[in-house]
Amino acid sequence: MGHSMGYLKFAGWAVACAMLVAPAMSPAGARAENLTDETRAMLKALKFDESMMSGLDKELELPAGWLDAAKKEGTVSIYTTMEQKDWNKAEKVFRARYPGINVEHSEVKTTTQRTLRPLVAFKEGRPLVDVITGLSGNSFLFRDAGAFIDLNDLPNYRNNIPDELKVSDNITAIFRVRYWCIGYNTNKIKEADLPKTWDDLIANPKVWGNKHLGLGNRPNNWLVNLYTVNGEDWGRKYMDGLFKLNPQLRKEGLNGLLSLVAAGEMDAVIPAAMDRVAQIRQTGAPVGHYCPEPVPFAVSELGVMKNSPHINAAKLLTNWLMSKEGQVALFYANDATPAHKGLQGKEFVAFPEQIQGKKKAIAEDRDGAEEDALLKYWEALWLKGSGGPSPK
Amino acid sequence: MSAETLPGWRTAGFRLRFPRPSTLWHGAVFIVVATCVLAPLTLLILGSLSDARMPTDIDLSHLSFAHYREVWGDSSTYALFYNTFVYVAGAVAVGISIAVSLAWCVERTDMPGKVWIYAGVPMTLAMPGMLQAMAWVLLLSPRIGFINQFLQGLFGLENPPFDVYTLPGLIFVEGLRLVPTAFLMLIPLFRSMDPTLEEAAAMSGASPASAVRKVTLRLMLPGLVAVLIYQAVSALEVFEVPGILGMPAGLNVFSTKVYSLLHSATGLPYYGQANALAMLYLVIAVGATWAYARVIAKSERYTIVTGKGYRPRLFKLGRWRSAPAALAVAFLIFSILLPLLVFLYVSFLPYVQVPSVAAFKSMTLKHYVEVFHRDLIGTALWNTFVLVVVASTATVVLSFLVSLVIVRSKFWGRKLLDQLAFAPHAIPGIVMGVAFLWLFLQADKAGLALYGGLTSIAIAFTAGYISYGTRVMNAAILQIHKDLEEAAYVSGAPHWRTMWRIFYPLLLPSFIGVWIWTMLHVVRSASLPLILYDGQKNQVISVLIWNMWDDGSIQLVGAIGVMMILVLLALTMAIRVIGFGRAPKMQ
Repeated sequence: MGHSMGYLKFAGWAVACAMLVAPAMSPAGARAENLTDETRAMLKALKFDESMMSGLDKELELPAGWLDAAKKEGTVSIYTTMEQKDWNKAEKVFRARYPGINVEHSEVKTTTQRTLRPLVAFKEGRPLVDVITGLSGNSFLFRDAGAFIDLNDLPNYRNNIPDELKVSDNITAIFRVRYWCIGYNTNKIKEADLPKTWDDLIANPKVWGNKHLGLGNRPNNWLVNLYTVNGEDWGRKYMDGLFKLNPQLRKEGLNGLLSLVAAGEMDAVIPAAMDRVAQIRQTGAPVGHYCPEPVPFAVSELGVMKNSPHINAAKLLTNWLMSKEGQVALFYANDATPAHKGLQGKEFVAFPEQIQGKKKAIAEDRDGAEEDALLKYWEALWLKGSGGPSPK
Repeated sequence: MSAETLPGWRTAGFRLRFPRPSTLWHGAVFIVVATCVLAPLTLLILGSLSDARMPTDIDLSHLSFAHYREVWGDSSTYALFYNTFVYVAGAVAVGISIAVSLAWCVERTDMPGKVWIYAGVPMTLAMPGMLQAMAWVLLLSPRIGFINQFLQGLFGLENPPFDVYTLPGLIFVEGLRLVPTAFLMLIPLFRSMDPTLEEAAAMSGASPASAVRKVTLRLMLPGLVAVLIYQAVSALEVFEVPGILGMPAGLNVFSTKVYSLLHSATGLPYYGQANALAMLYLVIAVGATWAYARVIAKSERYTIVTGKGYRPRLFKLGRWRSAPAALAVAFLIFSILLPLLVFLYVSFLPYVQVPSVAAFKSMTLKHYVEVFHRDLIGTALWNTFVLVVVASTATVVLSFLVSLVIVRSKFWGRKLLDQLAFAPHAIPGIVMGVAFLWLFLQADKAGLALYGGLTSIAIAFTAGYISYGTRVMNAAILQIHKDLEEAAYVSGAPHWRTMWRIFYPLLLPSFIGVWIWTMLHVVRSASLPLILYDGQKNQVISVLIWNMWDDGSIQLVGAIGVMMILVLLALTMAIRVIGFGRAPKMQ
């Protein structure tokens, strides 16, 4: 029941935000903020009104001494899953805001690499990186090691991130959200065959069975959310049904799978990120994004390393990433949907019709034992499906 | 007294024996090789016994056989055995059959155009297995395969005639990949065979086919078995082909299973199980290598290679003279031309689609433009260049030093050194990667920042390739008569001068050969760097291509693939022209 309550809280929060944001977005509510040229150029490129940044000056007010200390440190390093060319777009806006602070960005593809090495270095007392994003359910390792700082002293974490998306010890922060649903080839799947609910999907092996469906090895992006809403029994039964469809279990990454859907190698793939589908669609590829109800709503977390030698610069960057300017910059960089309470308009969502009026499913127990048990069940099915020993 | 006849250790009653300064380096070479081979393997074993989820949390008081029980106790492990056996046996059968046919034709028949086969077949080494597998997805996938679509359209077939996501599909692609190396290994076997035995068979009334079956093949058997085992180990270790073609269909072999365990949905890899599985793999591979060593040792009995100068009798093919050329052309089409064409095609598309008028109309150059504008591609190319130079040079130097100790010294551990140097061949790339990952993470713990960088990949490659390097160097050094060195020593030449004036010029072709072989393998291999690299700054081109494929940038992979294949082809051709310019005389 606690899970359903979480969903209701989120739905209530979204409605409340929309009501709060609406006046602020209107020209009457706008007031001139201290925008840099880069921010103006970014807003112009996105065709957003400058009024969107209302309240930015207040958001960028920092506790005394932070900025000077950060400038003294001069550098901050960050691991993300973003391509360098995308990150560069966001970084340009940051540099214009905080000149003199150099950002060393690394696109680190695998979870292991984003997790393992920083933890090893931390345990040995050696700083390796200041900020890590894309924790993919591994934040418990950093929690166990006491590796992340408490983010509650970051004003924009406190004020801009919905409480429902915070973890109780505040060691990680949500900085972007994504809707993970079904990416499908519009030439192969008829609209009438799209399932209304997730259960409808596994009940229709004629359309979705026999290798027509591709699965990516990322249940934490969607299934954990659905399980949160529907419960453990449902989660296990659903996985059994899903694997009985005999889907293609692909080693490619989720973006790679979408390209294969566009090529027709499979009719559809789960999970598919809404923004990525939109990007591929722009090339003319016959792809669409469809969300059965409830809509899996996943979050990307970041953490700041406790032993960071650039702790002030790291806090400054993290705080900025959760400001309106930072959030829009991330959207500008690679269509990342903001987590910021004040940026929940449909202009940040590629297929708004897929989420409007539909229930959303958030994973509340992102780090807990229940999720771990569910993922292990998935892992066993995944490895069994490919003929090998399953982890116990 | 020659250098090698002097004892490396003084013996005087019960006094401690000290190595002579001039032989200290023997011990140093031994330690380097032993460290490179035994240290990662020790950690691999420890990891398979440890219950720690992270490699750095190994606690010797928490060791158990739990991971072995999990791996052995699961019936699906035995499905892996079956898949792996069929895949390896099939690939080797395809690869060796084609290679034997081609090698026999160029060496023992009067077929036309031999020089093109001598030049063309080894050139297929330039096609990385990873790109070959990706190309065959686009050609023979039952859903989008261009060949399937074409044949279905042409003959009105309801179902696609080919499916590359099957064991035969894997066998076909891996079999093609094995051909060039097998061809290069078989050529000397055919060339150095004593023809008098065949002639004797012919004199006794045996038909040519019977002579081939009863004499030629039987004489070649030990050598052929050695090549076969070598190739089987190569097929066992390859991850790229089964990773791309097997995994989507649930056809796992050992290497893909180890990969899956290392890329878990739950976040952290299942190192313990991956290591326990890798240990099984290791036992199989070591067994195969042991068999290889036995066959090599026994092969002397057959004395098919003698010091006599002769040319084997050429079989006259008559009206079948063009058949071998057709086989070679077919091989080159499947190995290079078709993959190259498919990459060329997709590299111009905005998104991957089957050939059509609309597809050709939508073609764009943007992916080629992007290649030159992506910083990461430049970084990966530079890293690959550095890695190639460092790993290839280190392999040549270390192999030479190891072989010098093995062949020319009386060092106490030279036989063990020989076995240690050859052992890495038995260790599949992905297993080697896991073993080195554990080693470098421990080194990281000790403050040696090796993990993730190019140095770590270069060390792992060098350790892996000295097995090939030392085989070549052992043979080459054995061919240099000791009189030459002794003459130099008698004339008062110091060690370094003897090396420079005697060994260097005589061994230069072997140095170049090993360097090129290593270079091609370093560029092609993805399994080891995929495990060991960390961060985009340390990506090499094979990893970049793998990640791009994973990330859906198939068209960009096409553009890079086309350029990479053309550059490698040009390079191998240039090397053949410069280094083996006398090839036409071989006819």
